[in-house]
Amino acid sequence: MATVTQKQQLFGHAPTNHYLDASRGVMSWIFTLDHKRIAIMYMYGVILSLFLAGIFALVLRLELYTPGPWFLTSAQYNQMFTLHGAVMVFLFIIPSIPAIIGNFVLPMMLGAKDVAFPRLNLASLWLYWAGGFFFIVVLATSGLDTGWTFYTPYSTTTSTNVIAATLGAFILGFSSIFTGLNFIVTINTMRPKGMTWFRMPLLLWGLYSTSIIQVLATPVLGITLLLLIVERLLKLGIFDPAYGGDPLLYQHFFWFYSHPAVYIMILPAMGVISEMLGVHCRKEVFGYKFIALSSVAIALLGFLVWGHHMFTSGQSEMASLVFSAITFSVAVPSAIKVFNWLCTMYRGDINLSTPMMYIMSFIFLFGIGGLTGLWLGALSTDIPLHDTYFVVAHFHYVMVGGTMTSLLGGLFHWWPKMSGRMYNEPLGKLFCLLVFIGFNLTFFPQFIMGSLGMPRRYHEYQAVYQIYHQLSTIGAFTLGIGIFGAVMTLVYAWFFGRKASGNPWGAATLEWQSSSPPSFHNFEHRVIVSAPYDFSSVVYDESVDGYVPVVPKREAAPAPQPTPAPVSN
Amino acid sequence: MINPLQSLAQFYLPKQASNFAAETDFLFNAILWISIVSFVAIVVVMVWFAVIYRRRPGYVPKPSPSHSLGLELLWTIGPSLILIWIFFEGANGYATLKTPSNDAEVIEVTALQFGWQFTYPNGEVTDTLHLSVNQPVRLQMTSNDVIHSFYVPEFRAKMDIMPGRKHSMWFKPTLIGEYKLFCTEYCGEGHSKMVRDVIVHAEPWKEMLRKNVRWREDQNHPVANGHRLYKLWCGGCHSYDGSAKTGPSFKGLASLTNREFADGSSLSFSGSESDEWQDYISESIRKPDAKIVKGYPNQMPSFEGKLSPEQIGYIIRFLREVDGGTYTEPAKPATESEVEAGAEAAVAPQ
Repeated sequence: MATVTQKQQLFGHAPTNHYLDASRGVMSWIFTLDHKRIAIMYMYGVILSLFLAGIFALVLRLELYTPGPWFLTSAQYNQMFTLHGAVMVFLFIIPSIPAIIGNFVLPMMLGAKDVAFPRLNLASLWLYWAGGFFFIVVLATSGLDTGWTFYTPYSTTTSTNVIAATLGAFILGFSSIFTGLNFIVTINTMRPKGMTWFRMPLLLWGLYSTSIIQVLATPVLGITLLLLIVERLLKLGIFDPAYGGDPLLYQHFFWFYSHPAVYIMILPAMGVISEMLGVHCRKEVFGYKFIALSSVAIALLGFLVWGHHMFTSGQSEMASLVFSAITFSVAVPSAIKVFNWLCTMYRGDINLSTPMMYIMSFIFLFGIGGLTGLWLGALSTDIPLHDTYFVVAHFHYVMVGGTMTSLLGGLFHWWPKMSGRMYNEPLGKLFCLLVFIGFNLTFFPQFIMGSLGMPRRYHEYQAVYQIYHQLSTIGAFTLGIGIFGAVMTLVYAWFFGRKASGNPWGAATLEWQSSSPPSFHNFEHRVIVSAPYDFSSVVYDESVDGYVPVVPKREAAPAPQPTPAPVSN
Repeated sequence: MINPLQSLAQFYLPKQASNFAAETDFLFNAILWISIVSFVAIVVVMVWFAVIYRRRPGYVPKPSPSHSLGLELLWTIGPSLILIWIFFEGANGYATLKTPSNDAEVIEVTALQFGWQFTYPNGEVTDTLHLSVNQPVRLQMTSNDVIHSFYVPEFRAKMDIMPGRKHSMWFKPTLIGEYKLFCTEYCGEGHSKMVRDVIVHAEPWKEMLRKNVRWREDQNHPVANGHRLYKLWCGGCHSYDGSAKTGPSFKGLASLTNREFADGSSLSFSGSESDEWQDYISESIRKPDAKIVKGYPNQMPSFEGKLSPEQIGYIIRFLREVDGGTYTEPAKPATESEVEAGAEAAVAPQ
């Protein structure tokens, strides 16, 4: 049997010699090939982008407190909402969960040392920085006022810096493709012995489905943006009717990527929720196969519904009918997930921790976000709601209420692993509650003003909508404080938190079989593969103040079976 | 009989002012109640489970199944049936929306940064949409520059207008009143100012046209003609009271003595009667990219062929009138000779 010190080294809090202090100096971070350090550096960029775009959002909300212009001109307002959207989409939400949690956890869940292509992984990070640099160029020059969608022909005629922004998004696309490719190869080739496809943790199913979309859809965005740049520079008629192009073509191209991109944003979030739910309810996730396959189903069906962004655009009526029908088919796998999550809680051993609070918050907010999609998928009700605040509220409920909530929950859940420290539980819950209240106060009134007809992207508005805008502004600041507080709770824990053991939650997936924080090579021992949600495979061990794997009873090898004679013909 | 659900709907839906409204709202409310029931069920079950199955001293969870094919098929097929019903209801409403009535009158709509022009069958043009109650209309829509979108919440109707294409939509206004027309496709700086009135009148179509949309340029004061053209063509981007918009304001334009351009050149004028000034204004309307005022984007489309020389003359008269930053409606010319004198004075320099 292992001694107590050995146990502490393998499964406890690692005092020294972990990935954070394995080497020192800025260069050891910039040129690192360690997936864990790459994840941490992604986290800096992603959180910074969240704060930057969050500040843009607060400026917008403040300006919208009054119906007339207040402290921004229309031109400045248009720049603000464009940059809020573009930074949030391209620099925050698309990379968020795959780049931080995926990079850190995915190889460890496979019991592996790193992803399949560590250098490619570093290249993704560098491309992320390069793409971010172009957005800084946009901010420092004439800005951007096209909306994050870059709709032509406005984007071919405006005098703002469209080329820098689209180039930035183009480069970020490659970052996304490389990460996706890396994850696909890693999951396909590096699963440990005994981990069959249906014994994979559900987060890996989510990330795998996401990666398929990233690899297949992102190139289309790259081509589209490149064509847009070519049109602006060379006046080649592709999308602008002034040169013989067609703006509807741009919308088809754009949404062919950007609708699947919605699933790039939400599928990893669903994976994180499924994963955490099993651990914090200490119960096998209900309907594992349905949840796993529904991710794949969403990824594939998600490619066939892009036209539902264009019901009012003048695309053919038959196309609208078909897109509407397929859109409803995507709702089914999402509904399956929600019901299965509820059933997982049934007769569970529910640990009401901060991650569990985020899970319940997610189910609540994603429930509203998903159900409001029904109005937008149905043709006749979408027509009046299209491009109003109803749509704004709908996608914020899914993207912020869904993805951001699950990112925060995931960070709290894996923080002991990433930092080796526990966060403050009461503070974690307090800020989770604040995020929840602030979020609903911000976006619920937007549904009502949207169905009353308030168009989106409006600097000035009719006075009848003012009360909803005011509630929304108050909510936005509450939400801002909540997110800031949650992040600060994590930052405080990183430096001053109680030391965490290797497996404080009693999770059965492999990443928890390492010390906290993990060593440079992740595992100092051969990992023991069990079913991902078989919680009898770990037991609480007082000597490490956490859970350790149960070593299976060793038995003598069974007597060799007589080998059948080879069939010859 | 007053339906209580109907009266509740006024808090989240606009008035029903077109033939589509009732059908669309029925589906809206149906989805609303389906959603409320399922959402409340989900949240109640979630909170209830979180309370009774929470980890606490002395609590030992009972074993429970990890999957149940029957249950899972139930919540795959159940929602699917509801979704299929919603799809068909939505498609039905959409079919009504896309099938214009045979007796619809055609109004041509031109959307431009940042305003609207409505041309009626009698050739008249307005910047406010005038309609007659229960008279179906079909809008033939084109855009002058970028994508716009025609949206009147009370009509539950919306259609994008793309440059280079002709878009068509129809509806039948059913409720007399004044509504707002919004542009709902982001079109640039003045997007949120692209809001105009839609007035549904009680009079029958022909009488309504005669009373509300009739404008004879030869019967009106040239400055009033200029003001009307300004509202139709220029007001989206140029103010006359000095406030900032996409293009330079018209305030002080007539008394301008020197204009600097983006390419570094400049022009001097000796008053608004001078040939240089009138040529410059005329050129700026016909070929706006020839001279770009310093500090402004090159964004104005050409109005060559869209405005007659007479109309440019009316605009010039208007510019002289609003030089001080205010506009006062001129008294209507009383006699025919006054009209003729005014029209003569308004003819632009060739």
